[in-house]
Amino acid sequence: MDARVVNHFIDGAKTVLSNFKMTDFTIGKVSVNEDYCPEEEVNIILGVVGQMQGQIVYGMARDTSLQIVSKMMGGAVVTQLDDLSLSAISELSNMISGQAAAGISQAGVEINITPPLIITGQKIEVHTLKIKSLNIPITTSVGNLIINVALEYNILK
Amino acid sequence: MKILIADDSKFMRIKLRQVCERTKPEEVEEAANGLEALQKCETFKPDLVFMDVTMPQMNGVEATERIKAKYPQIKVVICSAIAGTKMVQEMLEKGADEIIAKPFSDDKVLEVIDMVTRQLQQ
Repeated sequence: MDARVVNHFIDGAKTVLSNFKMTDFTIGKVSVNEDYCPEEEVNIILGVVGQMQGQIVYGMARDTSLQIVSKMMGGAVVTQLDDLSLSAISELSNMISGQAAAGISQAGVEINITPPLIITGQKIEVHTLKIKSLNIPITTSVGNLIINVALEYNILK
Repeated sequence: MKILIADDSKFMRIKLRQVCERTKPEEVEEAANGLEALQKCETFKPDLVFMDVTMPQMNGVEATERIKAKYPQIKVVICSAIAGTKMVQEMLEKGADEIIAKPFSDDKVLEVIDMVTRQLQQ
């Protein structure tokens, strides 16, 4: 996997989190995963198609997701992952991925993202693509957010 | 002015509606995909459509093309996280009038509404 694409996701996360007044965050050390299996309670999965293909997984604890949604809603109290909360959290992942996709496309590699799929629950097993992926850990004031990026060049395009 | 918001995200529809309503429009309607947006152009007859790109059933590219072919007077503003990609470029070629990149500021949305209002008054 081209490690340079990770920078576009980091830039996207910085832009989107800051837009929702989550300025107090740090990007941790990016690590390589041979076979990523999400372990968080709330996972959002987006597909990538085009000259690169693969998927992006956003993982976070339920409480973190509620607090992020609260920030996105201007500080409203959010106690459950209802339709609106799920819509907000998937939009967050959509915006970060979209920003990254735009950056990657502007660098000459045309990609698009598919609508997000949300998987919630404890002790779930999500088996993702068997391709090498990169984990971007982000520590925010409301908890940790993991972005797992698994993208490969599409040799058919 | 009548405004139609086409986005598959309920959160984004609510957020955009809140900003739009600050301009005291005649009416604001919502559509959850491109096909619904196209149908609402027939019945609701909006002056302005905020159009997402990636949506189920019919994406923003096809919806924009069809809306502009049938109702060229309707202003279509792309509102998307993937500004700068080929799909967005295609929407501009199909006649979309403006782009707002997500995440957007309220001011940017208000600025676009103001611009469209002035164009409609000319």
